[in-house]
Amino acid sequence: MHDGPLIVQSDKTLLLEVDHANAPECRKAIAPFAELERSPEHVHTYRLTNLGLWNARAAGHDAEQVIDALLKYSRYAVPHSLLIDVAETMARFGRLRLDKHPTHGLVLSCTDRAVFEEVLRSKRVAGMLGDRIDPESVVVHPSQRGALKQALLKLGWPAEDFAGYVDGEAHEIDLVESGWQLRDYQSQAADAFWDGGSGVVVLPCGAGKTIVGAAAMARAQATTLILVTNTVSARQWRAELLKRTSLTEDEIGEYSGQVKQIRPVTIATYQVLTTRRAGAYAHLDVLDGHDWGLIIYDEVHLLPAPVFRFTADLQARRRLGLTATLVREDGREGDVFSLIGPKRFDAPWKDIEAQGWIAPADCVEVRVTLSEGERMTYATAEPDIRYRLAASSPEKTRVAEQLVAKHAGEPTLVIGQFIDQLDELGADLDAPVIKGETSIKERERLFEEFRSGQINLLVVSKVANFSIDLPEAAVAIQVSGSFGSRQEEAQRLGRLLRPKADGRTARFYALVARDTVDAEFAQNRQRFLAEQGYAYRIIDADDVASLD
Amino acid sequence: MSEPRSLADALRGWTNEQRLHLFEQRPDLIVPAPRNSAQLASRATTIASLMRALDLLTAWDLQLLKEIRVGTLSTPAEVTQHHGEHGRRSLDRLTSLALVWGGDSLRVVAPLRETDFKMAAAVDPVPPQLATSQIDPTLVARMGGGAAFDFVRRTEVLLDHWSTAPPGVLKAGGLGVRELKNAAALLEVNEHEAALIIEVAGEARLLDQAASRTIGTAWTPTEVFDSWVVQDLATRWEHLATAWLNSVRLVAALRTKDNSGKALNALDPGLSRQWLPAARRDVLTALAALPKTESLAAGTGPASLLSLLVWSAPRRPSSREALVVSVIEEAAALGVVAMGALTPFGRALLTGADVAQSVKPLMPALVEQVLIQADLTAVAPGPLTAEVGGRLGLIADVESRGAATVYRFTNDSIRRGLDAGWSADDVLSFLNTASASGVPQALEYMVTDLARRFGSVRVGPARCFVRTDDEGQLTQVLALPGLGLRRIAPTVAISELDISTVLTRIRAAGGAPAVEAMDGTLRVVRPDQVRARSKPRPPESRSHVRLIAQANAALEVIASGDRAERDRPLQASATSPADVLALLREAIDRRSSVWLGYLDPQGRAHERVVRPTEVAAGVLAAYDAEHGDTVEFAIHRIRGAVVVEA
Repeated sequence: MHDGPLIVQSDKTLLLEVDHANAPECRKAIAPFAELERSPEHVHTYRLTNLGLWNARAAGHDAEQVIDALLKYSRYAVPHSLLIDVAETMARFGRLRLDKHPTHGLVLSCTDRAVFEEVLRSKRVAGMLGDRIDPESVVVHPSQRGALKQALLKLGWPAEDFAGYVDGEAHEIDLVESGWQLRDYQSQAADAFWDGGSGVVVLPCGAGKTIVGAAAMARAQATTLILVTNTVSARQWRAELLKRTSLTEDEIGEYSGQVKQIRPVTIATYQVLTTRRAGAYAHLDVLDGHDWGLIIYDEVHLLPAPVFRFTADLQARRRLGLTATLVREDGREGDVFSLIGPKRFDAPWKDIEAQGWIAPADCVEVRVTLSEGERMTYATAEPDIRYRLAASSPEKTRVAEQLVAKHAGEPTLVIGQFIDQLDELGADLDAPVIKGETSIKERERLFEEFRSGQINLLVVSKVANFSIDLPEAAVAIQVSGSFGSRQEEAQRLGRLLRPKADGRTARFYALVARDTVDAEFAQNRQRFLAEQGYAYRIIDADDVASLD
Repeated sequence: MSEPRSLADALRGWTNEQRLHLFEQRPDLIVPAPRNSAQLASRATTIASLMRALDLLTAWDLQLLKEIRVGTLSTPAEVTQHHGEHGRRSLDRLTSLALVWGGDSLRVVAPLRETDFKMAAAVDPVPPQLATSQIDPTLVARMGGGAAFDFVRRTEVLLDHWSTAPPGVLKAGGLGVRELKNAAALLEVNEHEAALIIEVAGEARLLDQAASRTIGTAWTPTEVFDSWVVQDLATRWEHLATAWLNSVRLVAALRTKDNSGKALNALDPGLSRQWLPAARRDVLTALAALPKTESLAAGTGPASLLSLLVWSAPRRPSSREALVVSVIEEAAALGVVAMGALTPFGRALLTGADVAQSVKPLMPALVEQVLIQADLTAVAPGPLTAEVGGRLGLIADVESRGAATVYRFTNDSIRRGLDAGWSADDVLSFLNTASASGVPQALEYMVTDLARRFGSVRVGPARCFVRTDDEGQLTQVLALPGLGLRRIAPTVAISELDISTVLTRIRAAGGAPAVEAMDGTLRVVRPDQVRARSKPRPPESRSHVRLIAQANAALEVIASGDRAERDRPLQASATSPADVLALLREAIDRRSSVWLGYLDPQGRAHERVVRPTEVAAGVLAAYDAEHGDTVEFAIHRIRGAVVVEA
């Protein structure tokens, strides 16, 4: 019997035993085509998906390499049907191609007539195609380039897009490498993107995605639209660009809820783009009117649906997606693939090792027992307010105070969902509270003070905690708030709570009311955090004092 | 040697060796043993026996037989002269099978002189070559081992599932379409492969019909399954593969229609074909002739195998294209064939020697320990022993199956273990022994926490209750004999006896109980009144609707019967089929209505008045004004017809 580190299951999951001597080598071999799904302590689960295989094809890997890797590392015989499936799936990519034709404009062509007929007859592509040029090609309405790619992906015949891009309005942008240098993998990522034309670069948090974006802009030498998740993140981009490139204050505009500037380089938030006025996305039209040479999507896995539609119309412009994960909670990975482009670059394994599966924080779930009175109130409450009752129990405030006292002197965040509860905690702990209504300016001031060590306790609402970079925090205490998008939250947690310079791991506490819906949510969180490789324990509130 | 005068005469001259060879090839000749050569010759020339003998011939043999029969070739010398060595060898074969006899002048046995065997015009004297490609035999063995393991595993998973949820047996004897779909989904295979697994389990006697508590007769694992499942993987595979090799079940015929037009389901008796085992062996034997480093070529291989079988056994079913393909597919599912070549244990299966031993080294080793992780999963990195697998399956749900199994612990799965009588300690100590990586703290907490809550609310059966405000009084009641009471709280007791019995007995003992209704109100009843327990009834509206429907149906039948009776002529004017046909044709021309007396397929007599519209292929199409639709009658079932002017 073969003694490989990998077990290939017939349901297309791959189980990798991480303690096996060949595990690192095997991981490297399967990473280009398999998606890492879970990475708990002993066995990591990867999954083979159509998109993953097509991404590998787009990156130049062929079915033979994939099959070889599976056969080489597999401990048991690989199910034959799975190998056939891999070969067939990979052969589907690129059978159809989009090209620019000197006289016909945009053209879809295919050398396999049977496939071509099947595709042309499908209802999904109705109205997107024009006249048939010859048996192997057909005219595509230029406005339908994005929609067609989406439709073809859904039909299972993803097209490769060779139709090229418009240059956009030229604008000089250079990297200013003073006191820092573009890391190897960052320049490889920018190159891979540029050679591929459009696509997604996957890098773990903290690997310098902004710099990859800046490098791409320097390659494009054109006006650029950068789409980011929120205002705080927009300001961070702006600061980074000023530091790393030749761009000046006047050349960078912010297009957000507060400011509406359009400059050669414009940073817009998803939120403002998706704001409707009289049923129309007014801001999308404004931005669409400009001749951008490059569009950068930050955190592609959070891209909202209206932005997809906007992107479908922008297929003639270069698009760069940046993200730490291709997995989307809404399952629209296919749209990212067809509208922004295939994965062009994945972080080298060493970096994932540093970020991904080595437990970055120690998670402790504290089970709080509700008082007799609270239990009665909870039991008789309407289902829709039960969660609130359980989550904002006064018992939690007591335990939170205990924990804050225990970690006195360490930079600590208290995170919660309910404003009343946060205000109460802020008052009891004598700490500033950041919530939705806190102004951007005030938030930035408090975060800055926290970073510099002037204050070491902040109470923040879930709203405020989005996309903040506070690597100094050593302790986070979550009193309430279920994890909306759990994978994303686990990632945020990773960003928030890095191993400290002195090698100490950060600590994350979640306070959970026993025997309530709060505990049910906690179970999901436990699952996802453990899947991300975090150490996870559960203790009773009474044992907090004896915790090390 | 003098020229024999008959086959019997020729047989008399045979050596014992020649005779033995004949009996080996045509065993039907010696059951029962023939008294003499005359009788042997007579038996050898019966049509039934001859047809069997012809099945043994290659296309080339048949060709030669034909040439001798029509007289193109009449002496051994001519055969050799025309066809050389191939001809001579083929002639030996025909003679040794007692199909051709004679010394210098060759004679075909009598009944074959009239038989005409259709065959292709020109036949090559040498068998066609198989299209092959080079292959690494260790890879073949490994792939086959994987398939063999998967087959055993899937059989176990399915039968294990059916142990608790057996599917019903259809009236026709098979397994329902939906049940097969469910099985395929459970096993992650297509329906044909699921049907193969089910059929092989049936042939291996692991699965049979049994009376079920809930759904009449059901397909249920047998006691053979219980002993099979604890054997090692190799022995289990041998059991299944042997059953498959000898199976008469043609899984490829699934969903095809039988003679009565009914689609055939899995486990349907109609799927049996007695010729199948021999045909399957033909295909596998042809593959076994390949060297170990060669396999059937991916594209052209099966077609070349078919040509070979058409040549070597043209009269046998193995030469059908669909069959060759399906045998190879089935063999691949079992691991007998992998990548177009026979696996080492596939060869062993054909010869029947050391089957388990040859498959054993290619099967994954059983594991006894799992890796439990903080995300509440457990991974068994190989097939688990039945002991550990069974117990883990009770307290965890399977998330992914294959050579490895991924289990997930949930509140529900742990509760299942507690329901089955395990304590938190039982669960944890089992996990501690079964885990190679310890038990994560979070899982330990979950088990203890669930056990704490388990059973804090209890539900149980009772037929009536007794309650008092005074604990002492209840103690007195409990002391009374014959009440079957059990105290469940200081002031409440329950009984398994009827309310009337309990009431009467407490009264008899001098108590003065009052009866409480379901809503808690007091009901004062006279002690001598009796009551029956009410049974639930179907709602009024539904039964009423059914009645109306039945009544309407009856009306229709009566009306149609009346009309036919009214129009019935005193005597049918046409009764013979020819007369009926003439009368119907005339009625079609004249567009007149006709009274028909006919028998239905079950032989019951009916009568009806219709307007004939067409007669074709022995079937009358006619319009029935009464029902407003077109009906068809088989002419031969019409016993009488009379024109009725409408």
